Amino acid sequence: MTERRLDPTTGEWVTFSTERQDRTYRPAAGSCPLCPTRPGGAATEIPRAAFDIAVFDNRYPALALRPPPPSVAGTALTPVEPAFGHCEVVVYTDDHHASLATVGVSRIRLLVDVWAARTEALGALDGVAYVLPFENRGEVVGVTLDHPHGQIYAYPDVPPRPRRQLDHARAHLARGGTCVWCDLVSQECDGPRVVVRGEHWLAVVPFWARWPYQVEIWARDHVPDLPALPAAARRDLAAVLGTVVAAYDRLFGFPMPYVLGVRQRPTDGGDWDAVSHVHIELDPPYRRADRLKYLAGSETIGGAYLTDVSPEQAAERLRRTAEGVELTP
Amino acid sequence: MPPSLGTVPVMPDPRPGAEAPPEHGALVEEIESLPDGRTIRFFGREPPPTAGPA
Repeated sequence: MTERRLDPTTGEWVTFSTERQDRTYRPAAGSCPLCPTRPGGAATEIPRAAFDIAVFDNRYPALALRPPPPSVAGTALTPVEPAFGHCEVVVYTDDHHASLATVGVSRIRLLVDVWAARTEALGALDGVAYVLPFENRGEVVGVTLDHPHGQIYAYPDVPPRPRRQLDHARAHLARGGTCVWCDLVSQECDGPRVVVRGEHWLAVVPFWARWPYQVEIWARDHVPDLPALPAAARRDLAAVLGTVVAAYDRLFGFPMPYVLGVRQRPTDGGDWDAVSHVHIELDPPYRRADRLKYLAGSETIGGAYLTDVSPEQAAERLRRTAEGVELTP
Repeated sequence: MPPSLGTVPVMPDPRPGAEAPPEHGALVEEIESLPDGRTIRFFGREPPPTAGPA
């Protein structure tokens, strides 16, 4: 069963993919399906002994370019549709124990290029309206394979969070004639919530951070999506992103789990250039090294986030830690 | 006002032969089929140009 059902009370689609219940779950390092296939060893998902970055179709996709028909009949009130789209796995190192904090700027720069290339390719497919590169890191955020990797989802519509942001950006533009993200860059660039200030990117704990150590990385110039980034900005993004992840790990004393994603221009042919401003969000679930932040009643039922750490305090701690980070090229 | 953060520090790569700028060359993509029909793409960099004959 793979299909999308509409919640008519919110207007949001929910994807069902029951085959994913049987996907590989936390195998031992010696049986990792994302490691290279070593000579004489068992075949993994990746039929090479070494690689830089491998991108392949997800064995258990939630969205498919040729999805099966729905398992139930919808109604005018509660429609159901095939789960069209595409899901890819992005393995950005053949080292099982590496991370964005350790692979080096050059590899993250290559990853940014791959994100951009796949955004262009998937966004050009008929019916694909939005391309979302993301990474889940750590068991507490639901990772089932420990080998460092991300994913790319291609959706048939613009998902709810980007859609809400784009709608607000359009309203902001209509009110004042400016991009809300550009205004935020101007306001925050020299302020107390900066974590890393690159030449082309600004990493900040946002004024409204929903997670205690949430960081967003904003393009300092108005660039709508990854493919539009010039080379210098891609290199700078790699350095800023690697520094943020390394700062997390160093501050907390362990590989900090997180959910990371890139928000960018939809690919549905709409008029988005003025209101889409490419940025990355990182949501780590810890509020201190020994305590997780849970989404409880207020957040889950009310959608109203409560946080225990001030964004200014979180930014200062991360900034001081980031100042000591040295990445390999 | 926070202290000036300057640029992101980058440490010299200690690996032998790593002194060359790391992102020489264009993005290279090689496409293969997995045994079950799925597609896998390998991405890397075009190698830097080698010096011509002396």
